[in-house]
Amino acid sequence: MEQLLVSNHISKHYGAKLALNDVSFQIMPGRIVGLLGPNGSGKTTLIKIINSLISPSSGEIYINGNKPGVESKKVVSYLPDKTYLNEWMTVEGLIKMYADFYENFNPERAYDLLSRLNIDPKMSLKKLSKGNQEKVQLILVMSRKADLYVLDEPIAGVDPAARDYILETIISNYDRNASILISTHLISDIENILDDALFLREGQIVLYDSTDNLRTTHQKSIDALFREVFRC
Amino acid sequence: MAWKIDQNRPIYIQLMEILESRIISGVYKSGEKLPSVRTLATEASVNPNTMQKAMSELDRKGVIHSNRTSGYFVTENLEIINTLREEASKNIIEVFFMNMSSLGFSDDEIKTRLRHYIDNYKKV
Amino acid sequence: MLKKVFKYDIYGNMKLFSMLYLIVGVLFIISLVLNQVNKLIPEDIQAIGLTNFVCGLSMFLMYFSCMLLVGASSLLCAVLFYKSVATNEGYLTHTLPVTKKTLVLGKSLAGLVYCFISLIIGFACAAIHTAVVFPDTFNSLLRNLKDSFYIATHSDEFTPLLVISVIIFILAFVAQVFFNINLYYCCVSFGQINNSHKIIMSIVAYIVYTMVIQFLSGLISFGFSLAISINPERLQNFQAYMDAHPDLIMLIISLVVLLFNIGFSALAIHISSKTLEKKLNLQ
Repeated sequence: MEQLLVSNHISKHYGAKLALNDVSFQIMPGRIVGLLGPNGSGKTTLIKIINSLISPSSGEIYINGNKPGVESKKVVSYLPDKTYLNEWMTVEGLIKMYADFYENFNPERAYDLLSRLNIDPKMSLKKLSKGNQEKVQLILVMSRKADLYVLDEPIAGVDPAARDYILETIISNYDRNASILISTHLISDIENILDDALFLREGQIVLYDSTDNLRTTHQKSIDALFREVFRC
Repeated sequence: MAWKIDQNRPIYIQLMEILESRIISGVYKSGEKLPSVRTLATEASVNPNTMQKAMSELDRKGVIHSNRTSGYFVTENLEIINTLREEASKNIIEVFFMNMSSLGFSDDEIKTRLRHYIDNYKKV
Repeated sequence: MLKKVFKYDIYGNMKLFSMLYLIVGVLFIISLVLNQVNKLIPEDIQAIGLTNFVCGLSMFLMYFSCMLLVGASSLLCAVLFYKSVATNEGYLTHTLPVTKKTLVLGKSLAGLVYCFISLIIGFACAAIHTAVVFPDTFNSLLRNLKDSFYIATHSDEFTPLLVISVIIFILAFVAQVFFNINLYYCCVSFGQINNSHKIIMSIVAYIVYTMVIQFLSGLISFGFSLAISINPERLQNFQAYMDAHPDLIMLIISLVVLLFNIGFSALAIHISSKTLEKKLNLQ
């Protein structure tokens, strides 16, 4: 089976500061991987490089064998940790836009998920609550049949009920040919759905293994392991 | 039915335990078709891969068997289910005895208290 | 994909530009009405000065807004381009499955459409207002326009050559606006090179461009004068040809301007897309 995502000696520096230091790893299809690390560890930098929003200082990224570009963007569905959509657009308008640009976007699925949340598609983003805005962004991302989903802090700043909803959406969307990369620092909420955990500290990988292996080896939860590894 | 999962232990093992206890208690009867991997994973809020691993292990143990692509079925072999029940009871009794001993009771004192409970307090 | 980028850029900026057009339209109507009413008021009340002041103010606002609309639309497009490329909106812009070239071209075409509409609305309001409120001034302006047109084309009939010359002239004008937009976009893209001072870098790029153009123009003029002084016959031959075919003047100049602007626009788009591909650092 071919690797879905390959990171090959990725480094990124901003002036004197080294944000990522020789990061190399692979993700196979059908895995849900947690990108875990404290703030400033380089998680978002790595994610932006995968989505070609930042160019690396050295090293390469390959997605299905392609460098980040038009082909990779067709198969990568990215949820940033910010609101990035034009607030004046209606949910309906956004769905039409996504359907226009992405062949693998499924509008029926999007409308189905929206109806379950009682969000009126005719409303503009501006009129929705912040929580609902974030859910709409998640729905748009998850309604694409992508090979790689990259979710940057999908549950931070979200109430527990919404958290459950988001995790449920992720699980029910699971496809054994696709992978999900979730960056978060709220580990205990999410570790039950992770296949693998990748620990990032100060731009370097300190750990990359399956979660159940880690639980067997270290006799503790991923959350507890995280606290141990990243003790202040 | 919430799945109680302890994050400090491998999850797939706990999923196996919970499925086994459901089979023992008759929630999933012998010969009955189990819900799909995806349904169970969503119910348990775990990764479908992990649920799949648990069910593959149960398949290997013979507790359940897969019928080509129509999913997993509880075994018709009642002996296997009884063995599971016996094993589960052994674990529970071991833990019970360990706890009672650590309170300071001797074996005879434990037997007396157990009989007393069954005769007077056990809810039917 | 180009059509889609173009379409959604038009949609995205529609609200903003519609608002601007509305403001200009409202100022136009207010000023028109006030000034016409003012003409009907008898002389002695007019002398109070208040009505004149109000009319003058509304007129000033109207002409000023027209000027601003025409002059600042391309700059506004550049600001909107910056927003879509370098702020949070960039998270959407840069993850769409389109090449950077398609992105820049689609957005500059959309910008061209809005700049053109701004031009038409701005000029129309100013022209109609002048025609209605100052008919004499308008008529003399119109006469001057006719005379200039004759000088440029040396014909008063609708020959095919005239029609072609006018068409090429209009195209050259459109191309000039298009180049202007692409120049701004190029400066914005160039500004991405410096992480912490993107806007300043864009402005620096524009200043550098202006200086380079000044320098090159000076160089070309110098070279030209040198060539003429060395071989004055060439110039005489050229002048003789132009005197023999005065109707070609506008056509030739327009053609040159058209080609230069298209060529330089393509260059600007190429630079913009290459810079965005290699040097993007979205915060």
